[in-house]
Amino acid sequence: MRRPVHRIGVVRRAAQALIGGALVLALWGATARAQGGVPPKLALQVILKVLTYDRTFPTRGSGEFVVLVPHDASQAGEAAAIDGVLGELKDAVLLGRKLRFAQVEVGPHAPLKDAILREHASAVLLLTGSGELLTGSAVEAARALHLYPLSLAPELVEKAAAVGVANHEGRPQILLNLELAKEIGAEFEPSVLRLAKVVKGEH
Amino acid sequence: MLLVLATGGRAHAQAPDTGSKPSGTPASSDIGALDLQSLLDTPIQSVSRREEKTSSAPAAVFVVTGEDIRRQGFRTVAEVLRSMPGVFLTNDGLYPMVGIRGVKLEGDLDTRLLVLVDGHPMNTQVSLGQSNIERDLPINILAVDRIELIKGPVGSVYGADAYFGVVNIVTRTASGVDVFAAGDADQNTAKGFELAAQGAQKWGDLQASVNLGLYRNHGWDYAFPELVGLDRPTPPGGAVPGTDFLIGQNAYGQLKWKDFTLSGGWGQRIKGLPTAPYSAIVGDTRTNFANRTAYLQLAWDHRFGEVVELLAQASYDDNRYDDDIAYPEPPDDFGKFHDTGLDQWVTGEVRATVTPFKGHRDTVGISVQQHATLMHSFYVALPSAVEDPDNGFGVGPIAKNFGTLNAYAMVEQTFADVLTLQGGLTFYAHGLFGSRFTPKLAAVWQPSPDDTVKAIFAQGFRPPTLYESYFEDGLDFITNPALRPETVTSFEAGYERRIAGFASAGVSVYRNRYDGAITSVTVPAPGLDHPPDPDVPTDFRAQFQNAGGFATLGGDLYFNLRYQKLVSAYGGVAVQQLQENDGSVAQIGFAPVTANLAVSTRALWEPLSLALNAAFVSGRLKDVSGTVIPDDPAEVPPYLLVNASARLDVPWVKGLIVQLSVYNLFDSRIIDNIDADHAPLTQLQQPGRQFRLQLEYQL
Repeated sequence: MRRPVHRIGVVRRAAQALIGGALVLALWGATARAQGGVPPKLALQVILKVLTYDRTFPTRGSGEFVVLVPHDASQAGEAAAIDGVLGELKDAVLLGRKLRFAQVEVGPHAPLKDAILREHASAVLLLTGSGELLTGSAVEAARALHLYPLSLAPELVEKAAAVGVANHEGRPQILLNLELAKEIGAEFEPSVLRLAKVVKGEH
Repeated sequence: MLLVLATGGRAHAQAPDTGSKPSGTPASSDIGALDLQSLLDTPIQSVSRREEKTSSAPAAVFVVTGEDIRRQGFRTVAEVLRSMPGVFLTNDGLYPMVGIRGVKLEGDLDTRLLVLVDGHPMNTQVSLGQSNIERDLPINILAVDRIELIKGPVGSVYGADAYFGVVNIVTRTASGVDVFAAGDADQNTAKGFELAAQGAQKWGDLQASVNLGLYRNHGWDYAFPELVGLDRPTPPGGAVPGTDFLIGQNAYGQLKWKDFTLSGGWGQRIKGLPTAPYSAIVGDTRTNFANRTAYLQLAWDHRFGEVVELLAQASYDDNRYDDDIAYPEPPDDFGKFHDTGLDQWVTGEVRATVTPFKGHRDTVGISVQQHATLMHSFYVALPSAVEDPDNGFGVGPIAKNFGTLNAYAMVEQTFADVLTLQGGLTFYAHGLFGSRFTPKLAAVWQPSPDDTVKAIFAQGFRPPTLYESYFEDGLDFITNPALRPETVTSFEAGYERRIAGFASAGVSVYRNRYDGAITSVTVPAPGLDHPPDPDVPTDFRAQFQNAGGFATLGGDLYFNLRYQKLVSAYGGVAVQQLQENDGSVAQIGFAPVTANLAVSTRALWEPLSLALNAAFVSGRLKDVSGTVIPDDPAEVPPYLLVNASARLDVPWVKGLIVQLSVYNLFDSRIIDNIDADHAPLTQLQQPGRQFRLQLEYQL
């Protein structure tokens, strides 16, 4: 025996209530405050791990892997904030190469390139708030010396970094600037390209 | 047009916070040894219809990545599922079908498993015949980026069909082109081939991907000596070569532009039937099942600021089923019999997710569908009894049009970054089978980034399919419009620990209570003028009824390991017990123990990947209630299936990959129980050792 069908009214009322609820929530949420980014230690781990997918990594030396972390005078806060994270990773290694982070302040009288040569850096890690002068210097040095230009600030990847990390839907997402990566001689494996968001370079 | 809004994630606040103890990795370890996928913590879309970490997902989730799929040489979604802990496959010669946590109801064509392709449901409301895990999908294996499996009911989020679990197939979108060619052979004879291509490209904001496939297989040359001398003429020795053929074609495409995604797929599968079901002519290659699936979907997914995300999507689906069953021509019988099933439907969905402050999220959504369905069974040479009451046969076309609605709300709150509580409620209404509220409550406690404890209460339900309720053919089946939805209530607790940044292991215990299980029972034929005679088959009919309930109590152990690019492994053991078995509906085919393992390594030489996967399934009872085969055993034996694969990235030809796989490496004797449609057969031996050679070229 077939059941009587009189559900349409219930269905319509439920639909109206839910759509109304969705709109209220949307308006409420639109006024709420914004959220933060990927925790820097996790971001740094992801970025460094991605470098191991560069087929040319084994040809880039065998001693210490030095990551230069430059900042200018206006970035003192960012530099202090990252200091603790770099300290936590001070004993880490990357494919057998001991990691060392070198924080340096750069400026008109302390060029980035000098710091790179002094520290024998293999990579340059840009922090949030890096200005055009600093990013421009980093790109130029990376091209000339075939260093990895890296960034903890997702917005800098387009113009100044080969590898970065963004927060996408609550999880880290790799950002790759393949044009810049190619310019520094890096060649990333397809397996990491499948996981990454490829960013079109602006430089 | 039907609209749907969709959801937002938990925005930036919910990024995996490993600031103090990232991935459980000791500070002195090599970052190169960390597993990248673990660092990114494989995103899950299926649990709450948004991406989240597997470890913190409020459900029993398991993920197999595309990398593992390719290393293992899996060729279908079914083969991938078979490698997952707590899953086993059975095959009745028509479709591969999934059993989860020991349960595989007799005759169920995967109607209790929700299958999604990029979130789009593939299940139909007719379900005259379907599997949705093999060649009837609109994609082939080249398109798969990863497969996510949720074990247990998820009715509070997905509504109907998410009953035993959910399979979400996520396709690849990364730029590049793969071309794939494969040939299969058994130990002596060439058997089949597959051609497939996958491509994706990006031009500014526009991203496109395409997947095409063609598959043909001669199949296994079966012999059923047990049929000789029984009810039908049978070839010598019961040999039925050529009846197990399989033809599959698919096309899938996706276009993304800014917030818009247009996707569409088409798949066709035609399968020969070696068992000659429904008393068909034994060994006749005209007997076959055909499935055709097509859909088109347009979605708009937009984020308003950091805290609100809306999704609206509309889609059209067309799912067709046809079979031909060969019978002797007049005067011995009426010739070919044909079944048609058609389900065409439009879907609209709107979903909103709001993350107003750190640790809190609200999700609301509504999905509506309008179905136009048709079932028709007839002898090709005869009119229906409606058209010709004296000489006709059957009831003619059975058309049902109806709507469904699935509305849901979910609230999630995290306390002190360690405890997350989730509550959800779904209202589902079906134009033919009534309405229902389905709740869910879950708690996820993460005392450290490495430890996760989950407790989940969930319900699921499944309305009858149109086939179960309204199908009749004038021959074997009668209708039962009084069927009501079946339900499941589940309690589950689990603990998972991440180990040294490259491994994880977990344990789950659960109890599921199933009520009103829909199953086929034998009843007296209507209109008899005499008491039904057990010796006269035509005095009886098959009818689906809410025939009983049962409960399962069980536990899963599982692990996952990825160390650099050298070793990847996953697997587990599931042990379960059948309880409160009213009506014996779940006894047939129940597997008390299943175990799975998949291991691959590149340790010997980086371009060469060696892989091995194994599946163990304990013995299962058969349906021998009506057997006429002498000494027919009451159960099928346990088996161990082992497959091996070697995949070589040819070093001197960039982009070329050669893969050699051996399916059923030890030529194990694998036997599955099959349902009464195949009577007098009660079991089917599965293919033995098979060699597969694949060439893949990545541009």
